[in-house]
Amino acid sequence: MSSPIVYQLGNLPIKDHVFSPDHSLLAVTKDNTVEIYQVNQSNLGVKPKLFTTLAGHDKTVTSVDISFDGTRILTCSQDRNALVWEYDSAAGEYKPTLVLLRISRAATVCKWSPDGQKFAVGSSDRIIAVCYYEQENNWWVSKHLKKPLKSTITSLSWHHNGVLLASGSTDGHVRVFSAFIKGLDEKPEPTPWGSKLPFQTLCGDFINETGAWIHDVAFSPDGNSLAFVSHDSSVGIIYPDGEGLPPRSIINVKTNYLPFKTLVYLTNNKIVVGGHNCNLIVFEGDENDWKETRVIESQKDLTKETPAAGDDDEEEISSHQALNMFKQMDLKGRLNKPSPGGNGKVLSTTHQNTIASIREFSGNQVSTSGIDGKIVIFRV
Amino acid sequence: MEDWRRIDIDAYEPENHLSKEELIPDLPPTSQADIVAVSKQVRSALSSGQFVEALALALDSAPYIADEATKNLHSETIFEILCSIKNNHNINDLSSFVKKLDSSQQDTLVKYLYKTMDTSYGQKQGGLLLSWFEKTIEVTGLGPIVRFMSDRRTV
Repeated sequence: MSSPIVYQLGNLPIKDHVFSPDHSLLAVTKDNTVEIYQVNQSNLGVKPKLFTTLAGHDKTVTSVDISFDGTRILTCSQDRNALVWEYDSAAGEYKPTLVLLRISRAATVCKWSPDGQKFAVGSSDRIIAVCYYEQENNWWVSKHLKKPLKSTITSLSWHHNGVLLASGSTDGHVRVFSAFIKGLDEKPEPTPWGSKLPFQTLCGDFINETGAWIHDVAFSPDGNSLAFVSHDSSVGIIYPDGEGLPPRSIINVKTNYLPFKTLVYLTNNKIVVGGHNCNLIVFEGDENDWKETRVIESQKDLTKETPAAGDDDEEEISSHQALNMFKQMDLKGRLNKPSPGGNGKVLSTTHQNTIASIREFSGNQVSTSGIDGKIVIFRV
Repeated sequence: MEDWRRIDIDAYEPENHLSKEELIPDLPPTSQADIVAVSKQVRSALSSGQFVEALALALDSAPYIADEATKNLHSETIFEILCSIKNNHNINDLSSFVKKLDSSQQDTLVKYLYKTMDTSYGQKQGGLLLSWFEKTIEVTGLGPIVRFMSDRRTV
């Protein structure tokens, strides 16, 4: 297995990231802005070059997405707004267009539909805003999915038909809605989720066994199943059986890691998840059973770590390191002599903090972003 | 500007609020009589030396939807089993008991260990609870702790 490609882009947390479909651009969220990097497609080992910074939000940017053709960048933020950025080649910069979300609390997540005609924004206002472009007004307008939402939306995923929309929320529910916009969408083919789909139809409502927060949801590539990760360190997969019928099977795989934050449904039989354990875990299976098959990086168990035997030569250490040494002795009874230049304890994984988002990069690669400010491309 | 962080913004939107009742898991309620019956079964199993069976039975019949008195009664029953196993075995054998439980029973065991640590009788036996906790986590890893904190099916 080849080693992962790591980009350290500053030290600020990267909540969300996205590569453009041709991998020429990389967008990452940083505080109130989104940074756009140019990626060297022929040699990914070269660190991406900062191209521009999109500054249009007043509060933390929570999510970023690029449309399938790579022309439009969508951002949403805790300032209750979503912006659509388009490149203006005459001015040589990205120009934002404000979207009328009509929500009164933070926007938490935004996703383009597969055809790029519309997008959905989840919020802590118990609303999902489905937005589309109105030609006559030259404006992005939104329709609200409200019922029966009663809690913060943490995650969204579009079905490949561009009509069904899955959401995960903090009340432990995973719901599937129809986001059919009359006059914009073609009538979709019937799916196991339902066939008659006017806007706001609730096609499925599932609750996690423990009722813990749902952190991420994703449709399978064929659209016939739905996976979610929740704060109880489990992965769930739902297989529907048709309109009005209880699902054919719901599989819940419990693990003994720290909770998962994010997942990608890579193929119909393979899911990759990541989260607070700073590592990626691969699950494989079908509607009969799913199993954890491997972890991407070998990981030392921090609860069983023993202090490394230090060498005895006297070297000068900085006051900061000395302070840390005494802190360790005081709090943990550990006698670790700091090494000059070293930064003390590191995790055995590439990510040094929570993995905040995973995206599919190519058929067998995924990209991850973390609270440690790293973007990493793993082969899985 | 006044202190806007203290404004109750929910008051402006009375609709669609999540109530505590809606977060209660959809499970059948357990009556006190059921739990009393379980504790009798457990005691007879313990007196005939069937420790694993007693522990598994008690963990499988954990009351999630019940009043406080019933829940407390059941945690006392489980505490009795834990003491009894400890008194009759070597401390290093505890792991073998944990290994004989399935994963949901292990999760429930950790929930009860935490709950008992919060009681006065549990605090008098802190060492016992901590050795159970240590042996359990050695076998299971961090998962049951995470689920103790996130599971809405409380014991």
